[in-house]
Amino acid sequence: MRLYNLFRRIGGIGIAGLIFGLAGLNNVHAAAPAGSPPGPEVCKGCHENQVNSYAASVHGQKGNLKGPANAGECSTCHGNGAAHVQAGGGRGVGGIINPGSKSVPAKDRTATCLACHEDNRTLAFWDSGKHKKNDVSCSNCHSIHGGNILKKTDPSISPYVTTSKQLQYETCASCHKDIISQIRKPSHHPIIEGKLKCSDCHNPHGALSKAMIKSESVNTLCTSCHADKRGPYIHEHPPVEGNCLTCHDVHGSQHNKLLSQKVPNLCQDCHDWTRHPGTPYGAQRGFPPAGNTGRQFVARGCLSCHNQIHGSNASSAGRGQFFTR
Amino acid sequence: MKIMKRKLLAVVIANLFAASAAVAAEGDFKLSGSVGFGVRGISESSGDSYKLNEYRDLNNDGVISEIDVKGRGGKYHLDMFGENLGLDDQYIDLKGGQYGVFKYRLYDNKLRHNLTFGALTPYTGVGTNTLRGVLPFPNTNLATFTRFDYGYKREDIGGMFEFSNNSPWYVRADVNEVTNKGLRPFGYAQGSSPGQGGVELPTPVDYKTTNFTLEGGYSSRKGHASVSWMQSKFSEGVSQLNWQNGYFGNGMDVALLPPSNDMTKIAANGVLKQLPMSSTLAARYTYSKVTNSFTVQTAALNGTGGGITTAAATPGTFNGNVKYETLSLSLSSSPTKTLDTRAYFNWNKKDNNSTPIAYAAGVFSGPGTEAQAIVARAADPNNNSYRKSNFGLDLGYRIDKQNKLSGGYDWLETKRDRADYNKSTDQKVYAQLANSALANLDVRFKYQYLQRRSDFQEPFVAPTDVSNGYFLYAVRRYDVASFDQNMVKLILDLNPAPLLDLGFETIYKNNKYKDVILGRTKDDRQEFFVNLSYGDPKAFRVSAFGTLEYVQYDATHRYVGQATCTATVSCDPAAPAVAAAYTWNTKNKDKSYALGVGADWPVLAKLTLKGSYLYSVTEGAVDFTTLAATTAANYPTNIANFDNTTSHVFNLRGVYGLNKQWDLTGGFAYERYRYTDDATTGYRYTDGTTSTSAYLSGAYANPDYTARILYLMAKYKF
Repeated sequence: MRLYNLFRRIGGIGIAGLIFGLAGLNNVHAAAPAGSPPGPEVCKGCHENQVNSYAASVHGQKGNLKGPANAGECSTCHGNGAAHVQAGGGRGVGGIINPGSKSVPAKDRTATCLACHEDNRTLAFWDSGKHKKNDVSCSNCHSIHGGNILKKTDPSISPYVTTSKQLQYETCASCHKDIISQIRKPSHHPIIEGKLKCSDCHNPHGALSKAMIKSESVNTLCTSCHADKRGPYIHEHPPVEGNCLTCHDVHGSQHNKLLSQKVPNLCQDCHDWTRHPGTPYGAQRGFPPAGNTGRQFVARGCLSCHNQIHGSNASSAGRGQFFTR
Repeated sequence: MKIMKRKLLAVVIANLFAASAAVAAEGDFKLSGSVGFGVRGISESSGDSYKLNEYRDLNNDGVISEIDVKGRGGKYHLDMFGENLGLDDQYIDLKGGQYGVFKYRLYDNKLRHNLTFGALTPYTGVGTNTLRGVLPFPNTNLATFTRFDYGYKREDIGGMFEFSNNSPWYVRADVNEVTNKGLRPFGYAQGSSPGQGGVELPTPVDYKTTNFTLEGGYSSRKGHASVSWMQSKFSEGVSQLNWQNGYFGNGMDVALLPPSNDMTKIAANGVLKQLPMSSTLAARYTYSKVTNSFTVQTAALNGTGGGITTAAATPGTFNGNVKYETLSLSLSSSPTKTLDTRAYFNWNKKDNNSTPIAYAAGVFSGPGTEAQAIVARAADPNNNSYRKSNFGLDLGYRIDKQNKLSGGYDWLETKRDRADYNKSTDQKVYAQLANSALANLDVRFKYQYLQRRSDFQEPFVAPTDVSNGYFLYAVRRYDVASFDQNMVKLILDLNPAPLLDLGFETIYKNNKYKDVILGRTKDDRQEFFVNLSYGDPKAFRVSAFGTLEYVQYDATHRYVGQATCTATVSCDPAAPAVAAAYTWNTKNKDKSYALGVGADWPVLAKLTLKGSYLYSVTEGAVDFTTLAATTAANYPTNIANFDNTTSHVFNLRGVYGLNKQWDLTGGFAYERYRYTDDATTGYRYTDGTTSTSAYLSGAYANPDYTARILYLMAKYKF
């Protein structure tokens, strides 16, 4: 009998534990303790800044019928805070949830936001994207309770800029350090100047293309702004038709025009022939007093003659096939 | 364009007032924001301040402005931001809508891209499409040259409207127009070889791109489907540049500028969510076509007397027609709680159906003794069409709470219409471990191997064959050549104490090209990043970083100093070196590093200081080695300065809250930029005193500057 009772107790505890455990795993907002969720006016007692920012945001508008203001207000994302309030507050006390906390798995943090935003067209490809795959969640980039929708915790380190906008790249910089070091190089797209954003080329919310670019290919993306390079041309330059990144380091370069290598060396990596294509151009081919000025070396190098490098429609007699017209 | 800008501004202002008036009737719509006006002064010393003003309008020092308005109400919302009003970097953005019903956006984004100030040319008519030389040529008298600026103004005006009315169905329209106007440096060979001179000319840029997209779709928690149609038209206001050619008897030469084109694209997207095993199936199909049409140019200036050569083209009209088609499929799943998978397939097709043009032999129709022969030329067989098939699988396995192991395999086959390589197969594998076992330390380590194998098509040419065809056989172009790539990436994020974050990242990538006789043989990239952040943003926060990058490209080349190879002046890289023919190697080394520190400090309740210092350096060098026992006069000397730059940037800004309504912002910035390059040191605008003279204009030659910027702005908040 005693053994039977023991087994019964163990079984009961085990089953109860399993139920609560499963509930905890499957539901971001754990089983709510008794008591209806407190409203923002209660939360404001300790979290005035956060509640004020919520009230000023889209989330806090009653006219936003799908928003938290018409659902559970703060509890929509943070769970039922009744027990939290009763216990006098504290991190994690009373089952309160901080969806921005790193202790919450990325999947669960994202699930909080997707509970309302999953039907947003901009998030259609979230599941296919690299950010989800690398455990990046909404709160890594977005500040729900801050002034600006994008998070930026570190001071700006940049040249003087004529914009007072908070710049998007400073949010991306927290993870993409290698890219940010490129955009600071002498030849760069105007990203640090605030004229171009990372999201002008990439979709951070997910895309089916490599590197989550907004177009189906690199060339289609580049020519959406640089339409003068679309052609079609009579005389095409094969690497141009293949991939712009063959010659250009798109995020930034120490060489003019975002070229990955300086001309003529870049060109000579593919073009070797008798006479000038295969001639080495060293420092002695500079302007005087260097010994023997090489027109293929000084100033813009090969591009001083072969300017139409993206394609040419000039006649064959005009040497269109050599991109000199 | 001016009319469109005025209309846009009127629409923006009307919307602002109309929206405010309309929603004010609701009673709960509140407007808040700020308006700021200020002054800015710049003191700079430079050879040419284009680099200081590359993307910033600092030339018009004077009034600066900013407006930031937010409207929030029960039903409607509105955000308007504008800055640098009236300047070349003006930005205006108005967006708003009714929650869940519709949203809209109107914007105007101006950009000035300055390329060189104070360039020189021996031509008049700068800014037009006809440039006439200040004769007689050759002209080496700079006092007679025309001075001008290179650069262009870019403006992007557009808008968006989306209507959904709280329904999963929506319809959306985007429209924008981008204009580019100005001058860019374009270079043209005067004759048929570098010895006959070249000219760097101020070429007019007058581009307009108009884009319109219409999209309709259905978006819900269970899925998304949409269809869109996009039309893009690029037009150039100047189709050709006419210029006097000093080599060809001062005859009028013609350079064709980028052609107009039209692009149409249809896209369909579909996503099914909440499938078994927490799966999502996503698909995308796109079809696009780029077209243009023009009469083929047949005449070309030729003959030292300035005669015209014609090479009849068949057919006489070029109809450009390039089609792109893509299909992408992706299945993401979480079959178990600890396993994530993604399988994907991509297919990409490009068909170049443009008219192939064949040229007949040229005919001299004017005086002149130009020695070159204009040979008949068949249509180019390389039409650069391609087919790409790609599939892959990504797996992510969470070993435990602190460890996640990821890996994947990717296969890509490309078949292309290209003479050297017609097929490539890429295979990539990677493995990544993310670990957070140690308290306050996150580690991520990734290794990736990529292998490309390409089928080389050029026929074998024995080294004993002294025809120049040996080059076609020997050169392996790196963009499609076979290679092996290894990449390693390590990221450490450490949080050793409250409010202290440390980060370290390093990347190493190495490409080794296979079967290369001539061309790029390998390239290496090593990158290091460290960063430190400390403090509470509400009190004091400081951040510092350092970056270091090394990139090296190695290549092998063959010099042959005469038009055709012979037994003794051989194309074969393994042949004994002589003064007129030898093999040479390069190591192109690029190094860059930067150090930066920044701080935000709320000094007093009303005063916040923000400061930063950034020091950046780039260094380029080229080492040559020649496979020769004896030196020749034309052997290259190493290049020590190849786009070397040093930049110091200091910024200090203070924001003082005078009272609830007024903020005062004052700031000072110091910038110093220096550039050295062996290709521009001792820059000369003319070279030679005969008809083979070359003319350079000073483009990008002298970007050094030192600048001090002071600004003050008063902002009214409401």
